[in-house]
Amino acid sequence: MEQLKTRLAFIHKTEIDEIIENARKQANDIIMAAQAKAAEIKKKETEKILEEARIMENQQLETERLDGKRKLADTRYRLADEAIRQASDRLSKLAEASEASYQNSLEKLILEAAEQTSGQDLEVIIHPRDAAFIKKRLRALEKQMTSFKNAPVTLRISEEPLRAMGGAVLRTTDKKQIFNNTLEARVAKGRQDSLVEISEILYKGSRT
Amino acid sequence: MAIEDIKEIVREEKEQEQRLQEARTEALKIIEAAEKEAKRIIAEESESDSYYQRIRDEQARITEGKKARLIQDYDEQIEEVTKTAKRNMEKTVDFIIKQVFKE
Repeated sequence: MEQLKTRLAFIHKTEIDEIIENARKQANDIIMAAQAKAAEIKKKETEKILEEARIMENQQLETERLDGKRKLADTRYRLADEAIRQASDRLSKLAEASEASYQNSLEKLILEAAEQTSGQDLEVIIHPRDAAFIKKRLRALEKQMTSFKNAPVTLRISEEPLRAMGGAVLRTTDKKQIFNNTLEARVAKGRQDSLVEISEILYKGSRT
Repeated sequence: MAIEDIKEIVREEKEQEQRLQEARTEALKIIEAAEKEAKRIIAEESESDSYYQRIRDEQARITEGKKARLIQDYDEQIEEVTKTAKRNMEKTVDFIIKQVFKE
């Protein structure tokens, strides 16, 4: 009888242990699954945040890059302007001094204007300061124009004063053709035609 | 086997059944507790604002550093371009004047 009781008790104890053991195992699996899920949530959320941060960073850096490029371009433009301004100042002084080199250049500017104008009855608009000199050279200029146009040219000085620092405006007397060869026009043309060269000289030695 | 013995065994059997029932209840409690803990773990991770905020703050700090370096780089380029231009200004002015009187 005692043996039977002991055996029954053993069987039941084994069954109870098994129930508790299974429950613990199941509980452990649940916790592990939860931890794995939590880790997955953390990973995905972290990746999402990093991706958002990357996009935002790219946008912000692009904005800064554009701003930096704009400032750099503005600086380069401003400095090129400064070179033009200084050149204009020096040209103005040269013209005002009316030295031989300027007078020689003025003649060349008038001749070039004549080459670009197809008429033969011409008038030149010049600064009052240059009138005396050009008056002296008028016949010589006519002669040269006649020579390269291969046709008789008459040239007179316009009564209209040149409103520029120097150079000349040449037009046909019927005013149908006009060629602006003032120093201002030459500077503007130089800027337009030679901006690349101007920049090359101005920024020679710069790494940017 | 005497009647008394059989009665004893039946009584024992009932007691054991009672213990088994208690064990099953205990097992359910263990599982319920685990499920509760699992929910807590997941909820804690989902609502772990401070951790995610730290990541956001760190990324923002990195971005600010990169922006500062970029701005500095452009500032240095502007400074260098300005210095170079000042050094070459005279030559450039000469060139422009030469262009003006170029035939």
